[in-house]
Amino acid sequence: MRLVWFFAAAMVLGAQTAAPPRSAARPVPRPSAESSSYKDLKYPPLQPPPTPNIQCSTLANGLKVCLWEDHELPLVDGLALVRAGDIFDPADKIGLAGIAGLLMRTGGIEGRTAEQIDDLLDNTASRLDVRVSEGHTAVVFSALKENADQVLGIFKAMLTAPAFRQDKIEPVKSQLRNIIARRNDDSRAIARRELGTLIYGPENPYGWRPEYATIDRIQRDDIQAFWQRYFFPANMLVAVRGDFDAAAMKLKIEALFADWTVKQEPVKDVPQPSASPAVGVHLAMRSGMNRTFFAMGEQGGQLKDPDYAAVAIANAVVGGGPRSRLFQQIRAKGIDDAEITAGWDAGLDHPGLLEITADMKPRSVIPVVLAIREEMERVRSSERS
Amino acid sequence: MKASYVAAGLGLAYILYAQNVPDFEKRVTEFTLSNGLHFIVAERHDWPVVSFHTVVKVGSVDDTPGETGLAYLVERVAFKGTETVGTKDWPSEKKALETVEEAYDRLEAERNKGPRAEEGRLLMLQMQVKMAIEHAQSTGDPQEYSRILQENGASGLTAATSADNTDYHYSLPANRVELWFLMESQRLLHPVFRGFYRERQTVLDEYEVQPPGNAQRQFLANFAAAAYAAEPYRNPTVGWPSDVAALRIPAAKRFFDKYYTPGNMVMAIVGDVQAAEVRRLAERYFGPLPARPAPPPVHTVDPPQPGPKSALVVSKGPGLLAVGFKRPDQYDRDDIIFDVLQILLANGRSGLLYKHLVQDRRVAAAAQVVSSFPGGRYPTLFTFLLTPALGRTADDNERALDEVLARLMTQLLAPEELARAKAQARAGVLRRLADNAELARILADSYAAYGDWHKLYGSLNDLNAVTAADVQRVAVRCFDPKSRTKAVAVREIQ
Repeated sequence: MRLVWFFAAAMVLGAQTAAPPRSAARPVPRPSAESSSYKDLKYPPLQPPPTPNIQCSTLANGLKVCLWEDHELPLVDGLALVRAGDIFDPADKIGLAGIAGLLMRTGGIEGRTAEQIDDLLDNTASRLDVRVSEGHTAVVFSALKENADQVLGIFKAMLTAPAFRQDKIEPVKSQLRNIIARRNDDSRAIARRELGTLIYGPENPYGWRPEYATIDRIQRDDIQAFWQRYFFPANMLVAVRGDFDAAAMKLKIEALFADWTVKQEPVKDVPQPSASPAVGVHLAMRSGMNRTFFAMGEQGGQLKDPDYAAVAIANAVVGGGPRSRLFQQIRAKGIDDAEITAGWDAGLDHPGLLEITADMKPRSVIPVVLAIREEMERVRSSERS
Repeated sequence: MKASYVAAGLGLAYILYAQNVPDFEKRVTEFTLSNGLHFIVAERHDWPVVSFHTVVKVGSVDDTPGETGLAYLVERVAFKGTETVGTKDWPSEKKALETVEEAYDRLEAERNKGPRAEEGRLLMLQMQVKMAIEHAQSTGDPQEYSRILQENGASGLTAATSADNTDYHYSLPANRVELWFLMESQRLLHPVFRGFYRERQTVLDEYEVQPPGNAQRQFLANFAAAAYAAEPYRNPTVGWPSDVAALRIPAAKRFFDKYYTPGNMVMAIVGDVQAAEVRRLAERYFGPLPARPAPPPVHTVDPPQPGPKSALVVSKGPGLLAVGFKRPDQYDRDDIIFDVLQILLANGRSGLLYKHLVQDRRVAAAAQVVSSFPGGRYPTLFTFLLTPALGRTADDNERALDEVLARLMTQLLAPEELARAKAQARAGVLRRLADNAELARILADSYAAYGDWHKLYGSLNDLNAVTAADVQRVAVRCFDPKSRTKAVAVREIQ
């Protein structure tokens, strides 16, 4: 994202220096506020953002630690990023990573219940949360400086000694069932979700999703085993930013995690999704709707692609926001009830999604599709201005 | 064990007040132009970026009967350009816009005849309005204004209307500060409400969006309409559709002239800027705005509520329960205690509602509290919004809520409960200071609400003085069954 931004900004600057130097050559007095145009403004060069002083190292047990000393506010914020996310779910127990993450937070730690932890955190206005995404689990904390040690202690225990109390498993499962029960409420979400499944295939971790049955099968042993397999020092990065002395903080984290010496086989990437499926149109019918949503797409790129920046910029030109070509194209055709966006998401370890989504009145579906096709032809065959 | 937590909470309070806030004050400069426009500047030179936040003290509460939704619609067209930005040719666009209004006047004149209006003539006049609007649209480019900003690196471009305020915000690279001054002053000096009728249609279309997209919004609109008898807080910010359909540019212009005046706005600028430079640019660009009289406040207030009210909302969305109690406006001396109550009830997993309704009774999936709904400038509602867990009813939730409220009214808070709420309030402010855009927002909001941004930490001071007896007293005063309104959303059987 940062990369895209950087290139986009460079293009704007380039365009300005290349413009005819009409206004620059005129030695006119500064126009008054009444008459001034943005075209007459001159901007001093932009100072490059400072590089923050982030120090990274690897501890003896393999744990990577990155520290950023920042004294502006008396806060200490940090996270542990673990290579353990939804894509590592077993095929018959989809939802396991999500449940394990939630249960780390709500299932207590050795010697303390989750309720005791909640009280402790809330009393000191601290925060501690577990977030599970496609490829990673993040344990995130935020503490006022004077409570940082206390919160770091709980943070460490949550990562290395979660209790996964049996009586907390059912509430977590019902939370997930709740999400399944409501996932068809939003019609727009249906189109996007199904597109992902169609493109990656229902048998691939990038395409599948939890169902009641896969959640029902998950037992405490599975959760424990998942944690044991993925939560080990060499599979984790701890990053902390805030009001501390970096050298002292490093010693503190080293001491805190010194007794955690578990070793596991390195985590391998999951199987790559197979090639995109054959071209097709798939419909989800729902009565009583006054809008139609569609999503179309194919497999996109990866962050490591040499073309990443070029494609990201092309995507911004074609489909990023109200000035994008797609948007302009449908407006120019007089279709004013449609919203359209194109996204090109580059995956870290797998092809992301190239996706065009639109939301319109049913009568506009065909004109919108035709406009998209026209624009795609134009991108493929003609000029890049 | 418990005692040490209390100490930690109080210690924290002291540190926050004594250390950070005065330090922070040194970076803040403020000044008022002779036309009454107020600026607040906080210098923060870590990164070469600057955030701008304009608050206009006008919201849907200022919409007059028959013109609800006007504040929101004015906001929606306020980034659509000026006489020089966003036009293909101003004289012909101006003429095209005038033609629209003339055609519209003729249509309204015919409509006003009521049953004597001629149907054929109405159809013809409607067609003329439609064609005039389409022609006017072809003469302007409503996206140009925001496109210029985006091409210069603007991010977070947002505008929002609430019951009390209208906010405009974005951030720019630090070398483009002057662009904000130019664009912001020009849209106040020479606004063109370009694309007004298209935006009006979009607002009307939003009413048709399927649940759950707007189920909660529609539910809360029904709740507010049930709770308030006379106060304009009863009207939804987006307006009532039949009002919105009749809104026109001349009314929008009158509204803009009345409320978008220098004395009724505040602008906060936070980031890599020099206060002296900001002042120079402010004089140059915003100096030409003429001073105008202060707009009148709303004088309509609800008469005392004669007894509990309730509304049943049949919806395609999920089940919901809203319960509200009348409370005084934000200038009341107990205002801070309502904030403490809100935090106590709904902040974090140890919030009293989360503990009792979500964790222990398992009747709710989520529990939120809004201490003043929908706004705070006028007498308002302390509001609970509860989402029943699967298989549980609104009644289950209401009973459990009443148990929590009864406890607050009959028992004093434990010292650690109060200390926790205070610590969370302070930490909440502190965390928001970290971000330029958030800081600009709270500086401008505090000034807009109270006429003094210091209220931001003045209230931290007030907070320190709140006692358990205060909380009980306010709970008894507020949670009076007579001033209660509840709304229940039940899912339509399909």
